[in-house]
Amino acid sequence: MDDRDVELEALLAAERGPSAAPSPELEARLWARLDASVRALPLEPALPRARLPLGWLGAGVVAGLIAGTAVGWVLHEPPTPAPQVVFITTPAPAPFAAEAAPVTPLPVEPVPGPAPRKEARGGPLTQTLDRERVWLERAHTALQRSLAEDAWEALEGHRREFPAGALVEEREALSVQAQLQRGRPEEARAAALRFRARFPHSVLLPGVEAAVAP
Amino acid sequence: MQLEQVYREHLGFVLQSLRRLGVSPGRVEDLAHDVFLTVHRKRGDFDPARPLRPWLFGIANALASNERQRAHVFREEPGERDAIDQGLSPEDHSEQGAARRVVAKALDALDADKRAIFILHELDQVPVSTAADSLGVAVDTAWSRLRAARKQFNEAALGLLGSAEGGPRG
Repeated sequence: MDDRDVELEALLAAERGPSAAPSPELEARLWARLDASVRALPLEPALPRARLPLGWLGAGVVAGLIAGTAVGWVLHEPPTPAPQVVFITTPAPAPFAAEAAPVTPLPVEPVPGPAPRKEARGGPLTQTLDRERVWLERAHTALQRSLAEDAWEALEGHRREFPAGALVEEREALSVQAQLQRGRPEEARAAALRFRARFPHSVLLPGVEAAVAP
Repeated sequence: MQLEQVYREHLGFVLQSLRRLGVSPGRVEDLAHDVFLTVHRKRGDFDPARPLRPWLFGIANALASNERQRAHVFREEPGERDAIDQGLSPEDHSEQGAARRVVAKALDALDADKRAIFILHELDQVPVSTAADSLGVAVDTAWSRLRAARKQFNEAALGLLGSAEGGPRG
């Protein structure tokens, strides 16, 4: 081993070893996003099967909620306790604990828009994102229950309050699904085309296109 | 095993892997999220008899590869890369800090496929057969890429060391 080999080995040795621990703030922020995504995944085992391929879009929207919110979304205190999500490594995974949890039906009557959370912490950006998420989570949950008009109303609520919000991409993806559930396939296809033109690299695009595929 | 446990124990590794793979600083956090969401969704594919980190790296590499195809979200000018990009403190003037910056820049000289096997084997010290499995390539292919990667890396690193000392290295 000559001097160059020794130098190269020293370089690699410096880079090896344990990775630096992420900051507590980053760890908490990223977990909050991940947790929100896992919560919003379709609850197929516990719910009546949706008439439309919600799984694709639901999972995609969850991913998009993350990809689209690369802004400082610091949750010092999650709005609700984190679910116990079981990481299952068997070939045939059973439903997650979070997925099997009983769900509360949405109210049949139209409900007003999400009120500001008094307990919300953080700056205005955090609170705004929180309100956006409430609208979209309501829409997503309604779609899972095939309550198309409730979903559409929630999406319209988001559209009115946040016409250019941080989660527009997710809203428009859910809108395609909502139009399908409302029995408006032509509007859904048109919305899907607009989505593709506006968000050509979106992680939600495969789900959107699968939803309107013939 | 719980997702949160995997997340808490391996977040640092995933972030480091994404940086080493060349993901731009502004996208590292998003992709780390996507890695763990993929872990959650593909949990049934994981063989618990195998080590977890190479599997995580394989997911990170696949996502980074997708990102790479979107050139606009990756660094387009190598000159933009600096110590911060690699998660290294620019204030770290220690010998180790300098060495790690050289490694980070030398990794940029590698093709994507070679880079992945080099990181997994030479830096994370994963056996080639395990690394090949994690990256979805044949063992022979992994060895071939590794040999080429070592050559490229060594040339780049020695060049960087030479320029740092005021002249090229022979």
